[in-house]
Amino acid sequence: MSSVQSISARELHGVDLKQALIVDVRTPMEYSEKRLASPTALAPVTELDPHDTALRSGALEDTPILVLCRSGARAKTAAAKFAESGFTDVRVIEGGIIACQEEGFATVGEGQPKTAASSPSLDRQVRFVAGALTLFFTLLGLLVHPAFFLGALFVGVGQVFSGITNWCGMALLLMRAPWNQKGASCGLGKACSIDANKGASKGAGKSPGASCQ
Amino acid sequence: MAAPNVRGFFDPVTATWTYVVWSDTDSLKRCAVIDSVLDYDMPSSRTSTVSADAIINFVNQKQLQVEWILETHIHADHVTAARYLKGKLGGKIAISKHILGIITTWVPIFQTGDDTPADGSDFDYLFDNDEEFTIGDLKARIIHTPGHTPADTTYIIEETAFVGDTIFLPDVGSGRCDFPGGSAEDSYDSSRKLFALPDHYRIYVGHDYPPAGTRGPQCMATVNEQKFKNDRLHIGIDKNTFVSRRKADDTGKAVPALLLPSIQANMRTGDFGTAVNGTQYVKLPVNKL
Repeated sequence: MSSVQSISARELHGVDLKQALIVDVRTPMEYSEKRLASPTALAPVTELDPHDTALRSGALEDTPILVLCRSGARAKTAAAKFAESGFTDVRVIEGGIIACQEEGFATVGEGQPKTAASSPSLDRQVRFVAGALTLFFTLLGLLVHPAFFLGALFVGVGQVFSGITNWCGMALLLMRAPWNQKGASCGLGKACSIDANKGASKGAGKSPGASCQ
Repeated sequence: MAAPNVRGFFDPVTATWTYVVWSDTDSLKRCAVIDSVLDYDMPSSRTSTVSADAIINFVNQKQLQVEWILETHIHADHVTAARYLKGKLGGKIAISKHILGIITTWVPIFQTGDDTPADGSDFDYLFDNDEEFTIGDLKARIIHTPGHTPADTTYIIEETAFVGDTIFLPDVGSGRCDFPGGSAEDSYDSSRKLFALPDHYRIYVGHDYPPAGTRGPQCMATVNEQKFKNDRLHIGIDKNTFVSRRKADDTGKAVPALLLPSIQANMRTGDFGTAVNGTQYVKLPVNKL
């Protein structure tokens, strides 16, 4: 088994990141809340498949792999998986995303400062839905049949599991909800048709617009 | 021969994937570079070669020899680094012969007929439809996959397909079809050409636009994944449904920020045209698009 090296966030400034692949092994919820602004592959450590992650990220077995989590602990487990799978240059970013942020690396995500107009964050949605479900099942248990208490118990166990593992199935489901999908506003302001045969601008954009999507 | 080595480089500014493709069994280590990026800052109209130099560094580290510099189409959102790469690494710049139709459409808009050869001779080679060629010992062929633009093509290299903007990853869908000569109907038909490939073939996309916060940029999905998971084009979606949705989504869509400089430069393999007193210029037609 190859030994896994570490790299400090400060040393990361000296790395040619275009030649490397940064792998974020936190949960999707954590990734959604805050992630590096530079491209990173999301590959939660609990379901990490090193070869699949590399293949879908355009990386090879000798591509430098820089593994990142919140503070560094999970990254060591993930880095070991990469090394055991034959990847030859694997390093753990010491201190994880917290250290990267302190070192000046830009981050993005829902965990950034919010405005009053922004939608509720995912963790707030989870708390609301879990609370509502618990209340709902408790009422059904009191008013309809005691078997409904099992529903409240299930939600409670799920929340305890989430607290221990930082892995939340409810968050994964909520992320797929329409209001948590990418916004539909146009990033360029005024938009126009680009059919040269029509030769006229029309209407406001409703897609990202600056892309070929 | 199964799948070749594929190293992808993602440019976050334009969301573009550039690929270096080669075979381990080729003693001469010949490779192809597909859809490169020349960095261009629109407000200052300055170019830089950070993205292209990353490719050069990789090719040199691996001691590869560039045989082909391939373009899947004339990009509308980034300037190609094909000419710059050829100057540094050699290789033949190639594209589909359908570029001739693109030149016919766009040169009158830009009025660049004086320095944009109408016969596509700025390119070293123009592929015919279904033409077969090699990259070292890799077998490759080109198929016409129009829709996003009328000249979009796919390079099938052994068990991989480099599709440009013909189709995107399953959760993103497909490329817009509102450029001149673009066609949602053709886009649907092109997807079916790709779906005729064996299920395990890997489809490498030209861009990725990850839904915000759900994943990082990725470059590949298998044919099977595309057939059953592509949001817009999966098996079971009929042509009329796709076309209606595509046209509705494309109506009123904003122009890519780099469309005007990109297209006129890309028709010349990434060159900005004849210099005047040592300076090259970008032409921006007013009230034309």
